[in-house]
Amino acid sequence: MIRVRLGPVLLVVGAVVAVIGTFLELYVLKFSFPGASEVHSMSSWEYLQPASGPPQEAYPPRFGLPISAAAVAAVVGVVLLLRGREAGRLLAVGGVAGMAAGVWSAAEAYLSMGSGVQAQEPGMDFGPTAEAGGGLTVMIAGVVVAVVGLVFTLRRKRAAEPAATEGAVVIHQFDDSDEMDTPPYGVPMQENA
Amino acid sequence: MGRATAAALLAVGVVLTAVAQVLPLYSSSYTGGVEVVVRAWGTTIINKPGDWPAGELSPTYGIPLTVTAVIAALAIAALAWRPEVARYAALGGALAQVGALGVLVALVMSERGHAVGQKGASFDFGIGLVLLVVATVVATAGAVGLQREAA
Repeated sequence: MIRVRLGPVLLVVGAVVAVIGTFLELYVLKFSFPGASEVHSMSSWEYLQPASGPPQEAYPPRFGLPISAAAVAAVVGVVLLLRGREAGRLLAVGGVAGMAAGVWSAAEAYLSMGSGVQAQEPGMDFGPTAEAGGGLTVMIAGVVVAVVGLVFTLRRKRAAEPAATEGAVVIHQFDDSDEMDTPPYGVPMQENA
Repeated sequence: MGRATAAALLAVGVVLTAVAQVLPLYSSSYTGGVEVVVRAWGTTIINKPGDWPAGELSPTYGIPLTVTAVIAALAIAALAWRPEVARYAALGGALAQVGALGVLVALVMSERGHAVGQKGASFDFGIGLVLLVVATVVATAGAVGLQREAA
C-alpha cells in the first residue's frame, strides 16, 4: 500500500491553489460617472477589464511572478526533503514564507487602491470603490493550506529523525524480514588485536 | 560562516530594513514640478496642484516588511535559548521578506511603466528601495548561514 504523507500533499496543493489564484481577479475597481459606470479589474498578471485600456495599462504589476516563484521553490523544496536532501528544508520553509508575504503584500496593494486611483489622476472627482477579487481569496486559502502542510511535513520529519548521540551504536533491523539465521544483534566477531 | 557572522548579517539586514522604511521607494515627476514621492508608509506630493483630489495614495507595504524584519529580529534574540526555533524563524523571516520585496518591485516596475509612458513625466527609483534590496540579500545570507552552521 502506498503511504500518502499528508503534509507534503497539503503543501503542494496549497502552492498550486495559490498559483491558480494569481490568474483570477485580484481586485475590482468600480467607477461611477454621472449617468455611466465603468469597471476595472486585474489579476496578479494583467488587466482583465476593460479589455482595451489606455496604453499605460500595458504595465500591470505582475505580482504573480514572485508569488509563483515562491510556490515553485516550496514544491521543489518538499520534493528534495522527501528525498532526504537537507537543502529541501530551506527551500520549503523559504518558499512558503515567501508565498505568504507575497500574497499579503499583494493584498496591501489592493487595500491602497481605492484611494490611490484618486491621488494619481488629478481632476477625478468621483470615488472609485475597490473590492477584493476571488483570486485574492483563493491565494490566501492556498497559503493557509501550504502553511499547514509545511508544519505537518516538518513535524513528521522531526519525529522520524532518530535522536542520534555522538559515538552511540546505531542498530538497523528489518521489521518484516524472513531471515531467521542471524540473531537480532548480529554474530559476535573475534577481533584480532 | 560562523554563527556569530550569520547572526550579525541577519541583524544588519533588520537594521537596513528599518532604515529603508522611511526613505523614498520611488518618485514620479509630472509637468508643473509636481512630484509624487512614495515611501513604505505613505506618499508626499510636492507642488501639489489646487485641483489635486483629496484622496492620498497611501500604500502600506511597510506592514509586511516590518513584520518580516521583526520575525528576523526575534530569531536573533531567540538564538541563545531556542536555537532550532530561531533558525526556522530566521529563514522564514528573511525569505518572507524576499516575497514581500518581490511584490513591491513588481508594483514599482508597473508604476515606472505608467510614468515613463506619460508625456512630460519621469520616474526615479528611491534610495529606500535600493536599501531594501541590499537588506533582504544580507538578511537572507545570514539566515542561510545559520542553517549551514546547524548542519
